[in-house]
Order: sequence, then C-alpha cells, then structure tokens
Amino acid sequence: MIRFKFTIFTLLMLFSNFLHASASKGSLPTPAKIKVLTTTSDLQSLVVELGADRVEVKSFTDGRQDPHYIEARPIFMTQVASSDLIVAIGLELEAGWLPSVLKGARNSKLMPGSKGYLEVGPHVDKLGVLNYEPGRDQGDVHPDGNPHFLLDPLQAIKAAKAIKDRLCLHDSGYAKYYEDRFSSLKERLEKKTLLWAERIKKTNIKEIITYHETLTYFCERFGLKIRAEFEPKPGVPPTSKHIISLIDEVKKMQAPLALIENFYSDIPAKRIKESVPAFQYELIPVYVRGEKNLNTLDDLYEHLVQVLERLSLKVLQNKS
Amino acid sequence: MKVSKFFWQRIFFATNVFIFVYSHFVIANLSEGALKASVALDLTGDYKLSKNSDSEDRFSVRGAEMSFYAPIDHHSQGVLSLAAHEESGNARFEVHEAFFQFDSLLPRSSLTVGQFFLDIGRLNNWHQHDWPFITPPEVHKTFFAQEGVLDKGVQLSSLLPTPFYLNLTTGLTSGFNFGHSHGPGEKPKVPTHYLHLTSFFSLGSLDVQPGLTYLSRTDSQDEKTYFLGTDWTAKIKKGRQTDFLFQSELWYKNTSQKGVDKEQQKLGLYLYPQIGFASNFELGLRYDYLADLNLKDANENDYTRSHQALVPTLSYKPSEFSTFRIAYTAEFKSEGDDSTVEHSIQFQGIYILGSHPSHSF
Repeated sequence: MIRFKFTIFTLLMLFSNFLHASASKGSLPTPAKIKVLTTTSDLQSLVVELGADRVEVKSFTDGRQDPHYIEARPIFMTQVASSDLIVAIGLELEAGWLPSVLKGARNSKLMPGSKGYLEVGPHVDKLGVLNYEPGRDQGDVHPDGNPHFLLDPLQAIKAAKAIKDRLCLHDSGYAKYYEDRFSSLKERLEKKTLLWAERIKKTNIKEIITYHETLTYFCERFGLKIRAEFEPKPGVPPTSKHIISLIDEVKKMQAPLALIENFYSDIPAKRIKESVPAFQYELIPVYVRGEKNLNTLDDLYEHLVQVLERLSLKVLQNKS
Repeated sequence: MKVSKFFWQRIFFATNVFIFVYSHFVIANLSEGALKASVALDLTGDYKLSKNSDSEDRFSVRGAEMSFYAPIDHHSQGVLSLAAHEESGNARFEVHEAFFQFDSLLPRSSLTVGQFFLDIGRLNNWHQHDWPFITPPEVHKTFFAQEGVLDKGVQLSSLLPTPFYLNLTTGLTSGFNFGHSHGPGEKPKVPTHYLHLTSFFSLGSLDVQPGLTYLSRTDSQDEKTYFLGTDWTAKIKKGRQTDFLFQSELWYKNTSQKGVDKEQQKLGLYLYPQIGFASNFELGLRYDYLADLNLKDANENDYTRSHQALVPTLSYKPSEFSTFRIAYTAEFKSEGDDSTVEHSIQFQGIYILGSHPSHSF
C-alpha cells in the first residue's frame, strides 16, 4: 500500500514537467512574432513603434499606475514564462516587484543577463546618480540615477536605440526593418523636441513644483527648474510641516505653479491653494495611456506642453 | 547546576546585541555584491485583560532573523536564515532555513533541497514578520505550530503550461518531526508528503489567489495524519497602499491509529478582511474557529469542544521596512457544558534592515 502511494506521489511530482514537455512539443515551430513584455506603457509604445507587426507587446502597467509600487501578480509570471523578451526601465524602478515575477516565472531565457532581458536605464544619460550608498533615512533614492528618463524625448531616443538593437538580435532577418523604423522615430522626435522647447520658452514659465522627482528629465530638457517637491524625501508622503515650508516657497515664486503626477493625491496642493490663491496646479499624466488618447510618447509630450501653456495663461489672467 | 531564567534572558539579550552589531557589519560589507543580507526584528507584547487569559503578560523579542541569499553558481541559489527566538523566557538560536534552489534544472520549475518552510496553505509560506496580523490563528497554531511547518527534504514547484496561472508544488520531507520542533524526532513510517495547487484570477481591480493543499504523514507509532486545506487571498492595491485584503484558510485534519477503530477529526479556519486608510494605516478583523468534529465522552455520547476568537488589528506602516500593530483578542472557548471568554491585548513592532527580497502576491 505504502509503495503504491509513493508511486502515485512520484508520478504527481513529475506530472507538471510532463505537461510542460507536451506543451513545448505542441508549440513548435517558433511563432514568427516576438513576444515582448514591458514594465511600463511608455516602453510598450516604443516597442510597438519599433517592432510594429513583428512584435506582440503587453505592458505590466497601464499608465495610471506608479511603477514603483506594482503588485507581483501571478498572472505576470505566466506571461513571462511564455515570452521571448522583457523590457524594463531598470535603475531599481521595478526593484520592489519585478524580481518576484521573474523568479516565479522560472524562465531562464528572461532572467537578468540573458538575451531575453533588457533594462534600458544603463543606455541613457542619467541624472541624479549618487557616488555613495544612500541610507533609507534619505527616502526611496535610486543611487544609479533617476529612472524617469523617458519624459525627455532625447533620452527616449537612446532607450529606443537599445530596444532596436535587442529586437535586431532576436530577429536578425528583419534588422533593416527595425533600423528604418528607429531612424524615422529619431528624426521625428528630434524635430518635435525643438518645437516643444520653443513653445515652452514662450510660456515664460521658469520653475515649477512637482510631487515626486518624476519630471526631472523633462524639466532639464526644456530649461525648467524644479523649485521643490511635495514629497519631503523621495517616496515619503508630504507632512504638515513640509506643506507649511512649501507655502513659503510658493509665495516666493513669480508664477506659482505645480504639476502633480495623476496617481498622487492633490490634497496637499489644495491646502496650499487655500493659503495662496494665485497658486495654480494640474494633475498630469506621466506615462503613455496615463489619460485617454495618449497612445504614444509624442502624445504625452504634447499633452505636457499644452498643460504648461494652459497654466501660463491662468497665471497671466490672475495677474491681470 | 540549575541556571536561572534571568541568566538566559541576559544571554538572549547579549546574543541579540551581537546579531545586530554583526549584521550591520555584514550588510555594509556584503550587500554591495551578489550576496544579499537582511535582518528582521519582531518585538511583541502580549497582556491579559481578563484573569483567565493564557496571555504571556510580557514584552519580548519574538524573533530576530538574519537572512542571506545569493546565486551559488549558474545552476542554483543559496538561502540561509538564522533566527533567535524567545521561547518560554529562554533564548534559542537556530538555523531556520538552509536550502539550495535550482531554478533552471527543469523547465518552468524550481527544485528546493534542504531545510525550509513547507509550501502549504498561505501563512506557512511567509515569515511571521510578514504576516498581516500579530498572533497565529488558532487553526494554524494547533495544526502547524506558532510559526509553521519547517522540515528537511525536497520540494518541486512548477508553473504549469496553461494560459492562466496554475502552480503545482509537491514536496517530500523527512517527517521526523512535524511543526516547529527542536527534538531529534523519530523516523516516521511514511515521511511528510504534500501537494499545493494555486491559481489566480481577477475580478475588476480585485486580484484573487486560491489554493488547495493535501499533506500526510504516518509517524513512528503508526499514527497517520492527513490534512486537506484551501487558502484564499484577495487584494486591491493602489500605489503603495493595499486598499483591501482578504485572507483565509480552511483546514481539515484527520488522525487515525493503525489497529484502532477510531479517528480524530478537527476542522478549523480563519477569515481576515482588512482595509487600508489614511495612506499608512490598515484595519482588519480576524475570526478564528477550531473544533473537534467527533469527540465522545466516557459514555460514548457526543461531546463538543470548540475555540473561536475575534481579533481586530490596527497596523501603522510608515514604510515597507517597518510596521507597528495593536490588536485586541477575545477568545470564546467551549468544552462540553463549560464555556469561557478570555480577553487580551497585543502589541508588535517590526523592522527590516538591509536587502529585503521583492514581495510576492
């Protein structure tokens, strides 16, 4: 009886691998399209633009989620287990959840260091790199650099190049296809960046307040200064004491403006507006699909420029 | 020579001081490389609010755990966790987990070899400092001990090739002991063997993970025990806050002795709904139930024994690396015609230093 039970048990232990072996056999030949997963909707839009009908792309986040704090949903593991490539931001943006997803998927082809895993962070010019190991008393600091570089169109081009190179590696027969699509994206974004910079200059906005350090690259590219953040330290929600100090900062600003990432609360901004009626703020998307009809990075940058233009008009109206 | 309890408490205190001083050194020097190290401290206070309560009526270091993990080579990873516990006022320093994990040996599978917490149910998979409440539910404590079932053996976990998430874990462990025992135990007739099947689905923004477990063992005295259980976890998470959590386990335990025409049956469960509010606070209410299903008195008449509890718990989490909790426990015990109600209050403080692995669902 015991021997019989052990036989049954051993068979069950081997059952899952048998199923897998059968499924693998049935799934041959390899599908023509590259199955790509991205950690953010921004990266998804880049892969779609570069790969078009050569890729099938899914994103773990939808553009209205803060990618620092995503649940490691088990369904992500199933998706990773059957994909060819995962594209992540890196710089520890996904450190709280992506390692669990990769570990749970147990797909050695998509583990860090493999051909199927790409972090674009190391391929861009980073801001905020620390030359020391920060303690947790400094908040959720990213020592290898601020990971929100895709809000700078020129850094997005560098990220796109890294993605294009990896797609060429996976699908070398179509290398020219990816090269052509990348050249077109690069040319378009470079031209538009000049136009966006001109329009932002015309707004006369010199400095803004943000909630988190999300807009650092955007501001750097378009000559805006970030005067302060709602977070007293990265990842730390605003305290009453910090809001009081922000009110003092806002009073000193010529055009008191704030852009708040739309997955954060605007309650602290409302409190500031009660004290300083001239203070203007807007909740803004910071990822593709962060609002309706923002399907590409071009749409996102255009939307942010329009927000600045709108806020600048409000400031002018207030002054007059 | 009899050594006083006070002596052991001092030894325990000194050990903790050593662990933390040493861990700071280890973390500072090793975490930069591939080797990750972390320390978790779990301080608890348990005080009587009624004279008949079984509460320990004191503040203690329930656990101080130091963990190391890193790839060993291109085939496997190593995990080692060392824990200090205070058990009945005495210090105990022990190896908690020590295992190899092979993630690329078999497709979609990980093979664990060594000493580990068995992948059964929900709570048994999580270190106590990661639980959403302070005390173990009565069913968990009675069936699997305070922390859970820890044993030496082999465990295979496989992600099945289905379009939806389906994970099957099977395991075979020595079974010399069951639960969290420090004795050498005795060679069982049938070692501990188990299956845990988990799935996942979403209902709008609600993510749900159900699980089914079977576990069995026959000890050296030919007493066979088997468990059947189901575990459910449901969450709504927005940003860093878990807006809603529901966690529950239902377990059936059957014990029978070879040659004896009598078996013991027990049934237990806990239900724990919890809501998040005011950005860093969580409020939950746990309901515990445990009962003997087929007790007989000396005259072979039906006899009842049950244990129920209500445990409201308030948590404050300033960050993902620290938690403070307060809970009130009302226990309703019933045996035959007698019933009692016991009241107690618990406090907890947890911190985590160093690298903490990313969170699972």
